[in-house]
This record gives sequence, C-alpha cells and structure tokens, in this order.
Amino acid sequence: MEEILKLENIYVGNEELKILRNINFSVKRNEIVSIVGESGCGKSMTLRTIIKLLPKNLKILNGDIIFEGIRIKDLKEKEMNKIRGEKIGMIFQEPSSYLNPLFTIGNQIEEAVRGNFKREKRKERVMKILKEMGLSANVYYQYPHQLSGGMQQRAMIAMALINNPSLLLADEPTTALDVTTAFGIINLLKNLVSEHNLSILFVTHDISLANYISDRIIVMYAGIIVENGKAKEIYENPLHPYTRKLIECLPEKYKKGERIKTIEGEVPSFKNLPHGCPFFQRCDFKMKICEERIPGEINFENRILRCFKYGNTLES
Amino acid sequence: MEILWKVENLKKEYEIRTEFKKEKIVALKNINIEIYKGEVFGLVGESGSGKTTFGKVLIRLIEPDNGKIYYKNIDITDMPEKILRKYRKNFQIIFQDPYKSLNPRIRCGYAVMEGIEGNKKEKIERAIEILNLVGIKKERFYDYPHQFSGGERQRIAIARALSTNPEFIVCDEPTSNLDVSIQGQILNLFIDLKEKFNLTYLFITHNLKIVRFLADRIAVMFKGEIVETGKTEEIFKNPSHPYTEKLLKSGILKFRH
Repeated sequence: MEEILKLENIYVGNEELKILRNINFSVKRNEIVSIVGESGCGKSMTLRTIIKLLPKNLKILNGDIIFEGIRIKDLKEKEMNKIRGEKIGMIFQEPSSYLNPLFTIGNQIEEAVRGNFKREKRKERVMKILKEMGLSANVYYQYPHQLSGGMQQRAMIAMALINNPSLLLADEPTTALDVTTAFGIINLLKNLVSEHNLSILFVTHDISLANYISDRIIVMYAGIIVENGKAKEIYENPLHPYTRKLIECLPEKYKKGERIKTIEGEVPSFKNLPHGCPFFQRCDFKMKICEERIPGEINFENRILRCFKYGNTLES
Repeated sequence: MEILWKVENLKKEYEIRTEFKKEKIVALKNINIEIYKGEVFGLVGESGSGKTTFGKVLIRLIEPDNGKIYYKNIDITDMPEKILRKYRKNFQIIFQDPYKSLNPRIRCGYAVMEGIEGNKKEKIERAIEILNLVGIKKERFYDYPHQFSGGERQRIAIARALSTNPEFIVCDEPTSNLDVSIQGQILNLFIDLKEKFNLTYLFITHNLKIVRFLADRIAVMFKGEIVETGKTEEIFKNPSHPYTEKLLKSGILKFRH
C-alpha cells in the first residue's frame, strides 16, 4: 500500500530541550494508526509537528516529513496553510473549546469550505456531511451550546472532513465523552476510513481502545518510539517492557479484589531526561547498558523495538 | 448485612429559567436504593443521567424535593443542619476534578488539617499521618496544589476526605481525569483504604471496566431513573434492561477482544 505520510529522523526541540528524538514512522492510505503513551510522552507534540503548529519556542531540528510526496518541512507558511484543512484535518479532545459559541454550526462548517462555490452549493455540501456524521439537518441552524458533547465532536469531525482531506489527525477525541457516545464516535471514524478514502492518526492513552480502532499501534515514551507494530500483535503479545506495563495496568485485566500492577514512578520531564534509556528507572529488566546508552531501533518479529533486551543496537 | 443507607422515593427536579421560558428537568425520579455497610456500590450511567445529583442529594449537599433518606435508620431528610453537622463527618465526598476541588491558595497540609480536631500540634501530626497513608511525603506538607501532579492532587483530595475518619465516601468519577497508569494507582489506594478502615463507597462512574473491577453491587441509571440493580457479576452476565445491554456493549465487550 501507498504511504501517505512518512516521518524520517525527526528531532523536535530547541537548544536546551529535546522533545522528540529520532521519530520514524509512516501511515499508509486507508490505515488507522494509534499513538499510545502516558501524558507527557510527546504524543500530541508529534501531531503538532506533522501539521507544523508547534509552540513558538520549539522547532523541527532535523529530519523530514513527507506527505503525499511533498516535503512539508521546507514549505512556507502560506503553502502550509493550503495543506492544513484541505489535505490534513485535525480534531481535538475538547470540542466545545474549539467551536465559536457565537456562530451556528452550519456557519462554522461553511467557513471551512475551501474554493469558490456558490452559497447554495456550500450549504448543500455542509448538509451532506452533517448527514454522514449522523446529525440531523436541524443542527445546521443550531449553536454549539445546544448540542451535546458527542454531537459537538461530530460537528468538529464534519468540519475537519469538509474538504475531503486524505489524513485526519485525532488528538484524544473521545476522552471527554461518555462510553456510549465515545463508542459511536469511534465506530463513525472507523467507517469514514473506507468511505472517504482517509487515513487516521489517532492519539490516545487507552491501549485497549487503540487496539479496537487501529491497524497499527505506536507506543511512545518520553519523546521516542519504543514499539511499533500491528495492533493485535502488540496488544496480545507486548514485547517492550513499557508496553507490557501499559497493558498490565488496565483494570479489566484483573478480577475483583486483586491489586492492579501499576507503573511505579513518573514519565521523566523533558528538562532532565536520563542519560540512557528514558524508561530504565521504571523498568523490570534493566541492565547496566540501559543506564548509559539509548537503545536504537531494531526489527524484531515484524515490529520495530527500542530495547536492549532484544538486541544491542545503539542510538547513534 | 447492616444497611447503612436507605433511600425511598427520592425525587429532585431542577428548574432552568431562561429569559423566555421555564423548563423543568427531572434529575432524580423515584429512586429506591439500599447501600450495605462495607460494600462498594457502583452507580453507572451516561453523563446527564443524574448520577452526580444522586451522590450529592444522598449526603444532603443538595436538598431533595421529595422522598426519604435514612442513614443507619435515622431519618436525615429534614434534619436541621445544626444536628446534621454531627453526622457530616461520617460521610465524605471526592470529586472528579482535583484541579477544582482544592483551593489553590491553601497549602496541601493545611487543606488536610481543616477537618481534624485538636490543638495545632495534634492536627499537624495527624495530617502528616494521613498524607503518608495516601502516599504524599512529609516534605511536601507546605507545597501548594499547583506544585502537585493530577494524580497527587487526587491523593490529597482523598486525604482530606479521610481526615474526619468517615465510614462512607461518595467517589464521584475520581479517576476519569487521570492517565491510565495513575488510575491504577488510585484504584489500588481505594481498595487498600477500604480494607484498612472498613469503608463503604458509593462509586459513581461511567467506566464499566472500573465498576466491574471494584463494585460488589451496581445500579444502572438512565434519565434519572434506576433501571437495574444487582450483584455486579450477575448484571454483567445477563443484563435485563435494554439500556444496560447497550451500555455493556459499548463499554466492555467491544473494546475487549
């Protein structure tokens, strides 16, 4: 399958901080890829790197981002603006804070339509996409406060997809929602992939959800990718010690009365990252080399891993 | 088993007034529940189904419109606040968002000291002891809430609840704002504390995975009504109400392969 997005050796940071270190992955057409990890692992930062909306003090230091054959990294702001919204859509965790309370939903979605269309034509398009999202035509005339959280998120997805982008970046879109509504949104996203010829890069901290929605899972820890492979394989047979622990701490893996095995300690802050493997302080399998060197990427059983347990490749 | 709480025909309506019209929203509709001593009672349902309102009405943070609330067979529905005060320290509540439930201008240790009786020295000693119990070190006694992470703040909120030696705690979605890894730690803490102090919990959540792991019995709420009550495993095995079935389907079966 054709790769629509590819990140090569991406480093993000500034003189003092390194946030993302040597990020390599690709997203194929019609594929859903999830990025999983705790808060502060650099998941959202990866999405913001792709769409080039990094905080002012950070920049891409090295590497290449290739989207549909174009090197996004070198594009000027004006050209980048064309890609945002038109080719890459994005949805966020809290839909209510991204919708303007003073304008109707229809008005806001229409605003996002690119290109010269007559007014009736625009409205037609918005109506069509609202219907696809499972919203009634009435929503067109309603204001954000009149909608529930789930409906707002659907409206956000409609806005992100109005120009038929080929990539959707989803930053924890269901975390703020209820189980039943979240389930609806997740299934909607799954169906959109084939209907809209879309690829989705989905960020979540719930690995069981990632397993349900995605084809591939990328596990991130403190700014590096520690495991990357097929969703089902990773969920059923996690290899990296961090992935194992992430799965172990899910409450559904335990019976009543048992204690949950948790991950001791915290994600190291980017200001004082350890010299070696960032996970070594919390790791059950730590060796002497883990303290000193960062593990490089190795191919192991159909996936990419960064752990000295599975091979002695060093990060250059 | 000893009945700790008994609720009969509890009703609560909210009136929403806009400039143009009045609307009535039924938050609780004829609720009948018994909570036994020493159990974890799970209350599940979507947001807006009235779970939080129930938790608050139960310990009379909100006044009910109708119905009776019995705490250890004592009718506390119309009890004046002055008398209720004596009972208040027996029941506590922990909220969802630890960022909002702690005063940003009060040091963590002092926040815990508020509920403790005695002279200052005793208060400090006891506060340190409780904070230690929930996993906050002594050195952080004088830190402000913003210096703590989300999980730590929730621990402080739990410490505050424990400071009055309660026997019953309403836990209102205490882990839904936390990361999965921190969630596990907090859930473990809840179990440990329950065993140590023989606590009873009303655990309000929309996360069925947590309820299944934690609760002895559950009640399913839908639009202000309780549609199903029973032992957790039995409800998970064969739900009798269609809404419960829908909830289970979305919450557990599908995300779990």
